[in-house]
Amino acid sequence: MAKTKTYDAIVIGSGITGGWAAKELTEKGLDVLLLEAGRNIDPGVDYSEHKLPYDVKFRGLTDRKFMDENYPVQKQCYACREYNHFLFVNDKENPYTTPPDKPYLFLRGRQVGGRSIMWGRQVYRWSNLDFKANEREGIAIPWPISYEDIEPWYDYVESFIGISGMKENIPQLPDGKFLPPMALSCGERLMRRVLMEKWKGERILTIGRCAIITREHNGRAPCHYCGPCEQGCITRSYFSTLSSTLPAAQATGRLTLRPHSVVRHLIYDKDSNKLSGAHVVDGVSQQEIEFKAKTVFLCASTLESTRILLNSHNSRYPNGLANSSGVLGHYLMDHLYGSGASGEYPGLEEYDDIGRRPNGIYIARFQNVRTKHPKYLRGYGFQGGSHRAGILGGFQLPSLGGSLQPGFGASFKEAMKKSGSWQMSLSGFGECLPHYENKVEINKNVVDKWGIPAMHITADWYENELAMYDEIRNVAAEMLESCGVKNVSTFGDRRPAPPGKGIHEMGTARMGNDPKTSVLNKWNQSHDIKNLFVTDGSCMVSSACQNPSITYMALTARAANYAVEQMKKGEI
Amino acid sequence: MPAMESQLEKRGIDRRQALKNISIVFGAVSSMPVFSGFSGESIFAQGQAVHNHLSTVPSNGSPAAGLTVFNPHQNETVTSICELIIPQTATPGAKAARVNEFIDVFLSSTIQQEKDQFLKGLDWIDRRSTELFQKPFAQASTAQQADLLTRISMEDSSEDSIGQIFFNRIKSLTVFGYYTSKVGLEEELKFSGWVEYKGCTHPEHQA
Repeated sequence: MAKTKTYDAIVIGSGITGGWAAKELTEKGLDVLLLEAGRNIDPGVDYSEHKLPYDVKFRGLTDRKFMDENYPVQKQCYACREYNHFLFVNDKENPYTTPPDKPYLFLRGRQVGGRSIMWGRQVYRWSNLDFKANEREGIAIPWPISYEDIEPWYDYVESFIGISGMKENIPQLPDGKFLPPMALSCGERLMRRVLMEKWKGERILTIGRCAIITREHNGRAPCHYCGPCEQGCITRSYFSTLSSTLPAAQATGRLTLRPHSVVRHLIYDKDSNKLSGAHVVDGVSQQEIEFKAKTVFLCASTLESTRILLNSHNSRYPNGLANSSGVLGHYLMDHLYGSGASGEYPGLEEYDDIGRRPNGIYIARFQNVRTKHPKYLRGYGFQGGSHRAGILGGFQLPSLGGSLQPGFGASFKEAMKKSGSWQMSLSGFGECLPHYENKVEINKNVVDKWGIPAMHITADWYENELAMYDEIRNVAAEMLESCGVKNVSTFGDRRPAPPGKGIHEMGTARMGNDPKTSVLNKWNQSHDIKNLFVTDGSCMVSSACQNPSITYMALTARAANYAVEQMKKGEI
Repeated sequence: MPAMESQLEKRGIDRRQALKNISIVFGAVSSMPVFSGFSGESIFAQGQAVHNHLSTVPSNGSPAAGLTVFNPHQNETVTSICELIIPQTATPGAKAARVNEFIDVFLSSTIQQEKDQFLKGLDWIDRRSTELFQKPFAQASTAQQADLLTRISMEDSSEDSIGQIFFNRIKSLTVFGYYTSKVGLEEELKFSGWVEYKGCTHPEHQA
């Protein structure tokens, strides 16, 4: 048997952070093996954003019997459709368990590109309001970094991937490196103006800052507004690993991409107290293979990375690799999601709203910014938008559940063509505090298709989240009404949706300055094992309320830079 | 970007056509859940309501050629109702768009309770038609058919709730099936590609 090659680095996972790690490490001269558990993706075959409803059997509604059987969890994701359901995992092949009274929705994809193909593309920087919150309030542990540490890395990753947005000078939502913003609709511009007048800059409605380019950028074409980004993008107009970081990594000639590589565990060398590689089961052949490397970047996603560490336990680390602190698996967070308000915006009937803008609006967090809220810590931001209802408004497919024009026949058919009223809606995304009780463990009695022990996830909302959740929809309604929106109604169940539904899961291998209370140091490097880096959402110490992906990207690029420096110095 | 052009061609899409500036666009903004009508609760509630009225599902016989759920008689009835809801005018109607076939496909993948409810509704339509006109719905005159649909579609309808629920369901399915068909999209809505989102360009709304 030929001598096994030793790579400079193994990157595990090819999603948003794995793609970044592969790009940075190869561009800095390292020979990198990128292991991806799922299959390869051929955009020409697998992307479906230009398919029309009649191109698929159920017109986009999915084969519900098939989905109930194979995707009972994934089908609950708004982005999982008939066109693209195969970008989500088959739930039968990828089981996980929860306590019976604490459901958790684990929404995920396994393929080259991971969830970067279906992600929501919203990009919001954190500020020191977020990075300093734990320390200021005595919650959990302090972040080991501040905004100043990450700011140049935000600049760096944003400049490369391309973010469209509008500068607003909002202290708690720092401006980024923006391409021209997408346009606001009439209702949104109206609400922006009224909010400016009423709140003097304290509440600002801005166009969503998103990783969709509005002009050519790094050889990628601008968005042509076909709409359903979650189904892929053949013009590479939004950021995904496939559209952006993977081509850059491949261009170095130093990347080896290996799909169908399910990591069973990391290989630990007790003499050096370092990792020597990764043990993989081939997803197709079920063959067991070992790959060797000098350093490992774990980028398999929040829960999967922690699962790999827990499954890599040994006599030196009996409770999970790199877990001398005992906090590995704990402090799982997601965002409160699914409540808000909507209504009709009168006075705009003469204006049309044409086209499919794959982006909404954003109102930055305003609670606990200038004054302290009596009932809870932290805050929430609003996403939403205003569009004209109706089949010709360019906004929505006919809904099977929605209200229709009355009657039937020729006059009904004619009436269907008329545009409806202008709608405006706001939906909250709220911060979740880190709770020790919210955790992922290994369920030894359940294995996945590849025989790897599954996760047991325990997550719930606590007092602070519930107090915040109770407020969100009412504040949304008040704001809409104060801006002249009529017939306002709130939405969202009395209890928040189960954790996981926000698809912003983070924590479980947190950073920190103290090795006794954290898994990773301020460089996303394991306190215990110097050649292990974890740079996906599992590193997070708190959750803020902003969509987190850009922060993961910035942390990954920063960690890769540090790792290469340390390797050059011989420290790793 | 030649690679992109070829990818688009491969998928039967002319990029210039796709970007052509047209005034009618059709679709769903990706971040919004569109098919909210499928909540389990509403299906269950509707199902319960029907179940309280009717306890037996009509025996179905063999499906019509090319169909999975409807027998020939049911298919004829559904086709008639769909065409009454969206008739041929200057543009084709539901029959030309083969909306009956879409509803058959839809019901083939739905939960049993929803399928039963739909078939019971069809059965009710025939019974009511026979009471009123001494003929099953499909054999009644177009005027009689329209009369029955009017009775069950009025807001203050005094007809049995089974009929009213059935009408709302088949109307929703007809609308969905029609406007998502090639006929509905291209001939009725004149969809021919995507258009740049220009948003609000009105000085009077300027912030």
